[in-house]
Amino acid sequence: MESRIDHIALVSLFERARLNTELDGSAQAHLNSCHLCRGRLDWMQVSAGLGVRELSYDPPQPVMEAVLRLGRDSSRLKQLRNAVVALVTFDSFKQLAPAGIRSTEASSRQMTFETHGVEIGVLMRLSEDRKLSLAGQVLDKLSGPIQDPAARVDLVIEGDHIMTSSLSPWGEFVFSDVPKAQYGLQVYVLDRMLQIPSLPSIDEQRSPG
Amino acid sequence: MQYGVRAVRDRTDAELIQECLDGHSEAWDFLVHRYSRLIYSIPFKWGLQREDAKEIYQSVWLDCFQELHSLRDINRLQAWLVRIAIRKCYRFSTNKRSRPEDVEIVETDHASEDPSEGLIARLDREQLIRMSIAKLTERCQQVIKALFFEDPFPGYATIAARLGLSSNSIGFTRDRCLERLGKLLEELGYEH
Repeated sequence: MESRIDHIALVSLFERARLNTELDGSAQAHLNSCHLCRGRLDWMQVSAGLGVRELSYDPPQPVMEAVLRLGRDSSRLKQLRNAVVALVTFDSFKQLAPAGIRSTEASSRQMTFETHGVEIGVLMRLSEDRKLSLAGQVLDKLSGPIQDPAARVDLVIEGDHIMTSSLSPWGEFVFSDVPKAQYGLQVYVLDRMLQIPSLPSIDEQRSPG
Repeated sequence: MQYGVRAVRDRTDAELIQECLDGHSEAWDFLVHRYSRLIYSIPFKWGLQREDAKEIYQSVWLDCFQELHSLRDINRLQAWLVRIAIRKCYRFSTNKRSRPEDVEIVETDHASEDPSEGLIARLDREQLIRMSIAKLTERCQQVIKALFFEDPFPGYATIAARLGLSSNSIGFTRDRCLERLGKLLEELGYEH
């Protein structure tokens, strides 16, 4: 095992990394064979690479304050604590829709999700240029449209919230011409967040009737 | 338990997330500060401008906030944040080029790949350095920041004067701080 005294002095590694000084011949030879010293030089070089830019990576104060305010938003926190997953109760690919709304269109799929007395209807359509449109409606099963002017629906891919739609007075939302991908929906309404973690694909094979 | 009994900087991400959900805004503040520079640096490394960086930064944290309930169980919040930030950078730069059709093909896969010759690995290492520096004493933080982040290099005499040390003893202090930083990096699993 190498003794500690054999290693290159920290100041020499620092000066090599930060000030671009050369190591002397024996130190360079040691560096080539010493994992520990190479590791030290590596983190010093990464630190030096951050350099003066590191101090510019603080966002402007108003931006930071806007982000920090999120943590003080008690109504939003309450919604997050009350997050529930909505389960599918109807899927036009798996079962026939009631007469009158039955569709034979191969490029659309209709689904209904439910949780805690709330129903989320979703209609996915694929256009000829392979763009997806998602429209839907959020309703209280007993009383219909939910009265919440702040209600909204987020379109999400793996945690990335890419679009937001507010709910109309009739509980409708729409996302037009989005790239075809595996989306989830998050519905923020009253003190709850209703989640559809992953919408089935519109390309999925239909169940045989 | 009253908030703040244990030093907040020693709390894990999972602990902080749970405390955020329990309504402790200090936990959210600390979580944001822990990864703030990491997230804000990504748009610049991606070649985007300051205005874009501000928008992406806020958007990443908004997503993080909205996903807190699902992030409680995540092993590495940092990796999640980086992935979301990179996706947003990609989408942002793609939209600016007015080629939204590209998103369909690449967007989902892009973030799981190494997007620009080791960017994610470099971000990881830079973040370990930030987190290790944050664990140093105030005095050592001053020394390390002067050594690595000031341009031009202020010189040892200046650093010694700032710390109220003699020029003779700054070498010892510098070595001790470098040594301590190296140990912290080792403890946090820094690999080269």
